[in-house]
Amino acid sequence: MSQEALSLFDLNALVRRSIEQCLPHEYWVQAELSDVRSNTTGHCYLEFIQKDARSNNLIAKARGTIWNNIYRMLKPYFEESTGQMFTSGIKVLVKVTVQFHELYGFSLTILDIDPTYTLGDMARRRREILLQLEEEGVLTLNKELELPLLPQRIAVISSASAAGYGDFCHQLQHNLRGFFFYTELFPALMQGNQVEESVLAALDAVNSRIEEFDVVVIIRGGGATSDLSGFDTYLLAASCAQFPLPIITGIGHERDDTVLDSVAHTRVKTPTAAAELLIGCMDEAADRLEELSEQVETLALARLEREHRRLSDLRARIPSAAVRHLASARYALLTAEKDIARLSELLLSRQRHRLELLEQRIADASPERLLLRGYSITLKDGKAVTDFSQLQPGDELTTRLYKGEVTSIVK
Amino acid sequence: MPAKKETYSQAMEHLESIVRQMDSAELEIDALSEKIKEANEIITFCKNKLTKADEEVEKLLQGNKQPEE
Repeated sequence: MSQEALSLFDLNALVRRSIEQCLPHEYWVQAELSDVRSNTTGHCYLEFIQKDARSNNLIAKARGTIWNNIYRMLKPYFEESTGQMFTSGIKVLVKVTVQFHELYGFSLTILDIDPTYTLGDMARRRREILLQLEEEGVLTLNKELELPLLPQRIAVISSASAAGYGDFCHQLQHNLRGFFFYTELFPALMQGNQVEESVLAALDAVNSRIEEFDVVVIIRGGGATSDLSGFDTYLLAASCAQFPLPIITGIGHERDDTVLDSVAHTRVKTPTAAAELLIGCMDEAADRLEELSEQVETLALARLEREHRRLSDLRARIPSAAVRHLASARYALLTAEKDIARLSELLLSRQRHRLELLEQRIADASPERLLLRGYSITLKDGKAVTDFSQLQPGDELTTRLYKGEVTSIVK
Repeated sequence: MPAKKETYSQAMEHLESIVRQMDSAELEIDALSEKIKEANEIITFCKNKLTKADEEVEKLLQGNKQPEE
């Protein structure tokens, strides 16, 4: 009755054959990546895990392998499509075959990957973060800041070695109109697990010298495949959204905005574009200045021209005005002449009349008139006698009558 | 420390008001040359802002060459 014992190898071989028979197809599987490693041969070894949605406890786990011939293409394809490194902690949809090996046990061999699933999952996470920021009322705070008129003092958050940083500085310093820019680098890791922490530290450093800068630029060298997940974190987004200076991002990627891009004041694709944006602001300011300075010149010239015209108008009016003045002066003179003649005539006749009256009165008062009327004049020694006391007896008097004289002696 | 951007925008506002005055012809002709002089000074100041480091930034540039305190 005793069953013949199997060797372990035989048992495992049996399991292997059973699995190969029962699960012969390729299967699409959703799982989270964990413990992703690749070795020098280019093969990739990893763990697939599944956590309970509520408790977060592990409820499934399987080893996985991506052979180098697949991994060589799968990794860049995935990373370019998602802007997400093929690394632990992300959710993937992969096509696998199920393997069992007598020595190595159960494992999944990955044949293909569908990046859209990961994108969807990342988008959901990003949406959640943005929603949270919105609920907290900080989502658009940075966007509401006004870009300064002259964004010349620039705090750059980037890694010093990144090509993008060099491009940015070069672009700024070689701007065509010779605008002055001051840039200062606040070094930060722009990929890997420490992006969040490192960018936050850089922001803190800028914040402690906030008065010295006009704008913050977060840029990163332009490789197409890179890990952007560090820019999709809540803490970084919240910090950027509430940062007191406008933040411009140019973290060089093609896919939809990262959370950081969504909260930043302005998002551009590349460091070069960020530089162009700043130069553009300066261009605008310079254009406005030029416009005003041209206006000053034009208006001043126009004003002078107008005054000049006014002056020559006035000058042109002088001759006719002068003639008019002379004519009226001459008329006034004539009138005055006539008036004088008329008035002197009047004056003379009035005097003449008065003279005539006086003449009459004088004529009326002459002695001849009195003598004619019977009065006489008594003279003594040729002088008229008007008082009897002037006379002595024996004086000879002459009495003048109208006609003739009579001589008599006083008794 | 006064924010330099304010100074620039104040200068621009001043310049704009000069232009407005000149445009509305409310400006006495006697004051014209004075205003032009004023405008030119503002323009030079603003141009310098665009293309040159101001004192404040010079200090930063200097400070950057030496290690901080």
